[in-house]
Amino acid sequence: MTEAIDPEQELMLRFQRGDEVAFDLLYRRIRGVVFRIALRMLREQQTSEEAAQDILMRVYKARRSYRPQVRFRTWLHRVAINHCINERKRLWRRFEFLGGATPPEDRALADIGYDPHAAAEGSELSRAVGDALAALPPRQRAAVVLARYEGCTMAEVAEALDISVGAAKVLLHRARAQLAKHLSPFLLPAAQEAP
Amino acid sequence: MSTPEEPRELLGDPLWDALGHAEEPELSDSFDAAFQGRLRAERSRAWGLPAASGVAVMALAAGLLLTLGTPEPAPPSTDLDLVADLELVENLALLSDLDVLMAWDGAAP
Repeated sequence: MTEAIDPEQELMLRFQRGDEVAFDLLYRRIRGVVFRIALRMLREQQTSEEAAQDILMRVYKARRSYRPQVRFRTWLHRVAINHCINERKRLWRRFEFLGGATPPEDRALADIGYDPHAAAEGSELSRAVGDALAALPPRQRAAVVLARYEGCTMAEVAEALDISVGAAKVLLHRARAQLAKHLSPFLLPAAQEAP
Repeated sequence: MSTPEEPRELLGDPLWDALGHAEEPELSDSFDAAFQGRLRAERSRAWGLPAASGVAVMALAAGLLLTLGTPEPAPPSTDLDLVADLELVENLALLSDLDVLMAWDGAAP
């Protein structure tokens, strides 16, 4: 059985061979994904757009170093998640440097960059989902973002986070417990019980 | 009983569905233009800088050769320099006149 062609990988390989147009085509395919991940990891629109641009520049600069060892999308997820986790740490340091009282971990970026415009327009549930995701520790949040919003399998989540499948399941299981607690008013009682 | 293998099973249907109500991210209109600006800067840095630095090195080398190969011309003398030179010549002439007179007397004064 032949392996399915990965069109994004093809574009990246063409770009490696010097085809700049291939990068433009790749950019159009991946910018939405990169931004979605950034926004769900960092929450605030402008911060997320800047992070998305940084990630896309990393893809551009990876022309020489990129090796097609994993699916392109998996590699992209890894680059994006790592960048967002580092960016979040940087924002935290800035927040603390500016004299902000250290908020508890579960407030996370909701305190640093809450988007009031989106909050005003969104429904109560969508706001609650945003708050619940923001309250997760970064790697749990990354696992949920990849699994729920990027359609990754457990193996792909594990590969993107550079951990075993078992460890990825543990992350998602812990995230489930915390999400269920935050979203309990919106869930049926049966859903709040652990599987 | 089998353990859940995939994300939807691990999270459970109700939570999975609830998470589906997250706000849908939308890129701002300026995103593409901003990125294209960064990309242009990166492309010119990647392509333009080595070429420019090569030209700069060649220009520097040519300038160095010119500097080493040609002697620096003396600056033109000014009027004041000329006056000083004339005074020196007159003084030398006066001294030589004294020498002549002393030689005639046969002894130093």
